[in-house]
Amino acid sequence: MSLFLEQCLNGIQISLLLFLMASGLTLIFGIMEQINLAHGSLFMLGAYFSVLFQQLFGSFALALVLALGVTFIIGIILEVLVFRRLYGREHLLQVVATFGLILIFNELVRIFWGVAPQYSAIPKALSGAISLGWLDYPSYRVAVIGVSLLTAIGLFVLIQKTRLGMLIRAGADDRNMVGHLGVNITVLYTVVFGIGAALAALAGAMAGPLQSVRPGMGEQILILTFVVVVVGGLGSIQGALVGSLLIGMADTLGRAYLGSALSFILPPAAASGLTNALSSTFVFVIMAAMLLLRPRGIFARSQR
Amino acid sequence: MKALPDWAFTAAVAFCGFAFFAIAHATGNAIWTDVASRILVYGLAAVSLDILVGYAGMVSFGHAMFLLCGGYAVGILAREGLVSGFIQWPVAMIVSGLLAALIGPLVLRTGGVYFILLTLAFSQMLFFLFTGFSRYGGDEGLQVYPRSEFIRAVDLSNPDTLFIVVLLVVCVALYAMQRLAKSPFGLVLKGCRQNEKRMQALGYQTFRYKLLAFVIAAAVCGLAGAMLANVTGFVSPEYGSWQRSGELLVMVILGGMGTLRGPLIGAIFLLMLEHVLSEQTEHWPLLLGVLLVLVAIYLPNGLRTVSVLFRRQSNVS
Amino acid sequence: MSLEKPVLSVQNVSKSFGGVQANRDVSLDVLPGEVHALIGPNGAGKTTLISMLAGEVTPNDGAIYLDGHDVTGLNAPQRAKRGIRRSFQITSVFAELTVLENATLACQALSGRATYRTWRPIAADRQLRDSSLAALDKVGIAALADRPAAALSHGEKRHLELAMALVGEPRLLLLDEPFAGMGADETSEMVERLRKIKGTTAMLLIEHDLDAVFSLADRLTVLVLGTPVATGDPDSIRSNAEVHAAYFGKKPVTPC
Repeated sequence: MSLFLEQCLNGIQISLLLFLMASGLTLIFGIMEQINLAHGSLFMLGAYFSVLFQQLFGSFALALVLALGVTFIIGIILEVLVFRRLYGREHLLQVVATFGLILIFNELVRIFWGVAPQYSAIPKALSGAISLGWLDYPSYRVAVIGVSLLTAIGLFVLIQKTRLGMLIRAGADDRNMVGHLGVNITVLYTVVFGIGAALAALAGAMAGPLQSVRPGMGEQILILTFVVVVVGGLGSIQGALVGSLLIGMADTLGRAYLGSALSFILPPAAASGLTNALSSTFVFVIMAAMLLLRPRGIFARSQR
Repeated sequence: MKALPDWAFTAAVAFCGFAFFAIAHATGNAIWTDVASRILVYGLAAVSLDILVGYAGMVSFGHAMFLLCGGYAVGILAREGLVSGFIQWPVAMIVSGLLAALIGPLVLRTGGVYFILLTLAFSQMLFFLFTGFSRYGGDEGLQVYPRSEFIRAVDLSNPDTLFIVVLLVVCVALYAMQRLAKSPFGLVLKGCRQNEKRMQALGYQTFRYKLLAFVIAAAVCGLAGAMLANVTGFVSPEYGSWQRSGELLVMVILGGMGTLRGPLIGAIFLLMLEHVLSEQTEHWPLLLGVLLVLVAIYLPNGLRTVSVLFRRQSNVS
Repeated sequence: MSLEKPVLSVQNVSKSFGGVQANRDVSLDVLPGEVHALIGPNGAGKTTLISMLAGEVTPNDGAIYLDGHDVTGLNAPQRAKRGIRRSFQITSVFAELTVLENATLACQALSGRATYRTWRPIAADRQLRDSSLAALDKVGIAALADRPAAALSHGEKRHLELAMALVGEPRLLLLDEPFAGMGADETSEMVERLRKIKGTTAMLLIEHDLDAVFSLADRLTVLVLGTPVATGDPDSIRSNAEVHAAYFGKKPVTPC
């Protein structure tokens, strides 16, 4: 029972990290109609910068904030140099350009840090465990859940309550309308892109201590993020949240329990062979099933 | 100006291939044939992707999954003792086509960006599926042993023989693609790319045509995968990695989409570039990345600007 | 009014997008050979109605009959094959294809299986070429057959669109602002072209150019806020008080 609860908490933690990624991706798509394959690279940069600043200043919290800031600036530079020139162009070109960006960032990271994985240490204050009644759960993971939740709430407040949020919602609904509101679209786009980059960096910096920090680490989560936005509905923040929870939980629980579930139905040898193959593809099966039910995602934008 | 006959392009490819072969041997560079086989195989894969991207307007970011599919069809059959190429290669095509027919209805239900993301997602699914198949090597991959067997005189473990076989098969496939491009079906695909809504208003159930295009492109790419397995003597899940899919897309873009020679030229260019750059620096992907960003921003038509001129000429009949 | 069976019969059709009601309880008939015009102020739901008739948008409520058969559940390609053809408000020819290829696409759409052929070159099909040229000839642009469609003038593109819609003698032609973006000369040329076709095929057209509409239409339906307020021949519409109140703004229209 406590093992199951722990898996659930792990699932929630992964879901929330996914949400930080997916919200940025879906905003950028919803508002700028821009497909960004390099969103995973910003995740990776967040993790690497966090390691760098930890080594320089010895404080995890400070490193986290600095990594966020630097990636935010990189996001803005990218928007100005690359993405701005691709708005409204064919998606094919956006795919090629952002594929190029992935190659560039992975290679830059190799040049500066080498191929060997870097280790991002868990801060001392969070190295223990917190007792949650039935089980002891690592404090660091609790902190990750807490920070992600606060960020998610902050994002919803930003979108629902502020003028910037109003523009973002208007932009996601009808891009032409924002222009009529007399808003400087260029600045809006740049800011939204920066926010997306910072969210990805936050996810990367927090994921750092939980996995190895290495070149290409962004792509794995990028694929899951794509699955999330497809399931949730491109352009929808609510969709990103629901999709993240669905996919994050399915992935974690699938990896944990698919094996034992299969061994009920199949002979052990066949079950163990299948488990390996199926546990890593389980989320895609979920995605395919969701597509049959709702081709444009749970929170599909109307086509008009 | 009189249009060139359909087979002229195929004949040109065959001629260049044989000329290259002769020169490589005359100058004592027989080793080149291995690289050339690889280029031809990737070229065919890129051409099949171009049927989707350049003709039907379907941007697939997971086309390499069919390379994987065709490669493993050969690898697995060889492992299980079925070594005849007359069976292996058609099986590779059929299995790839069936896979496309299976996922096609899912990825085609919604257009545009969803198609890009979904093809990527399904190719990753296949990638992970094969990393988990420990019987066939898991993420280590699988030796293709022995190579596909045809008749006794044709021994594919000899790189020269392999090159000739690959060249001939690629030429036949190219000719078939050429016919397709000029067929009623090809015209329908072009219409779908330019204005799908208009096509529906004319009475076309565009979904069916796009699904068929997806299946055909997959089968041809599966054939390329079967040949690639023989060229490298090895298949691994990396065959279907998203980087590979990205590279195929880059070949289509660089050479100019919507033509058949474009992706071939793109394949030659990209593989030679990788070859040359990787000898200079291990960080060559950085340069490739910069090139791609620049091409996307400043040269959106690749070399298409040039090839459009050619097409104009060959269209006047 | 004649007792002929209508080609198109729209019965109590409604459509809303989210909270916005685009059409409410629309009923209208189009008789064989007649030119029926839909007019109304911006936002009256004309374009949505056309999209529903063409099968691109599904109504929330009501039914659409073509020659007495219920076509409400059919999608756009199916309706096109049954004989409902349309032109678009924004010119949509296939710009990268030649004029002849555009016409060929329209012709072979009706030939069914042949469009799945992947081997035989399209150029080898003499019959298809002849029928495509004939379609172009019908609107007087056969001479432009080998030009890329992108190189045509706006008026020529509109004619090409009309040629594509006319292929295979459709039962009903839906024309979405056929004179949009045209100069006076091009408009009168297009009016002449439509007048020649008039009688051979039923037409339902949306148009803002009222002079052209009144000179062409047999009957008009006035849509206001998604609902028809009046249907009748040009004279009765001109003198209809309700129409004036809602649409023309009190002042009677003087025919020119």
